[in-house]
Amino acid sequence: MDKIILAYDEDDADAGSYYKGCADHLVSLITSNCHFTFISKRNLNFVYVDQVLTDISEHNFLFFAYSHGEKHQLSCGLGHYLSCSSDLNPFNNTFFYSYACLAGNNFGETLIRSGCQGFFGYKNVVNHYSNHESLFIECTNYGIKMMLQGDNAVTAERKMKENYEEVADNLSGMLDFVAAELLDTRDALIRLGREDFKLSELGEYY
Amino acid sequence: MSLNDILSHIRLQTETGQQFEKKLLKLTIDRLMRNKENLNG
Repeated sequence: MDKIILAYDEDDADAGSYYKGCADHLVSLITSNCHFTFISKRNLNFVYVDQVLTDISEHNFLFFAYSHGEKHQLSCGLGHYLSCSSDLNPFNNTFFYSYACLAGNNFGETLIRSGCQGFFGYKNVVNHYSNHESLFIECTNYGIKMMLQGDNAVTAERKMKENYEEVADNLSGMLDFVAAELLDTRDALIRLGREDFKLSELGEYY
Repeated sequence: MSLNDILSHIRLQTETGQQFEKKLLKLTIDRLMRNKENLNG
């Protein structure tokens, strides 16, 4: 069975509800029969994540991360759970999709050097408006939604950016603050790895 | 952060207020460049 690892920091005081919302939304997008490994709460730490990666090694998988991040790592209240100094070899021939500030810098590049076929993330600090949470969540997952419909990585990236614009253009007046944040997030989006990568190369995810 | 908080930050020109201003300016320029908004003199 095709495998998906889903890490999300639902306990974060500020953005936990957003991260969980992204995770729930992602699960609703997967219609094929996949095996999910959920990593959250106390399990979201580098020891547990390393064990999960050891157990799954030799298999292809998709990894999703919704949490805080920094240039070299993904983190939560318990500290980092994946970083440039982790053993990233299990990510050889996998795909990584994340919503985390800054992790599109050194961390994303290191993943690709470890053989990861594709990476979606953000190179700057990104924010969302909690009273427009569902709108931001749908934008966050739009890229993977397109890939689950068969698009390759670069096409999904283009459509994801266009979606940020389309959603922002439908907001006006006092909601310009929200629109401005969406376009800022669009500009922070970064895709690394093979342009022509498709999820079908790793399994029957759609 | 409420709208009043945001406006207060902008009036006081705090770092947060300046970031909001910059993002709104970027939004306007972006929309003009994509022909989603017009400047009428």
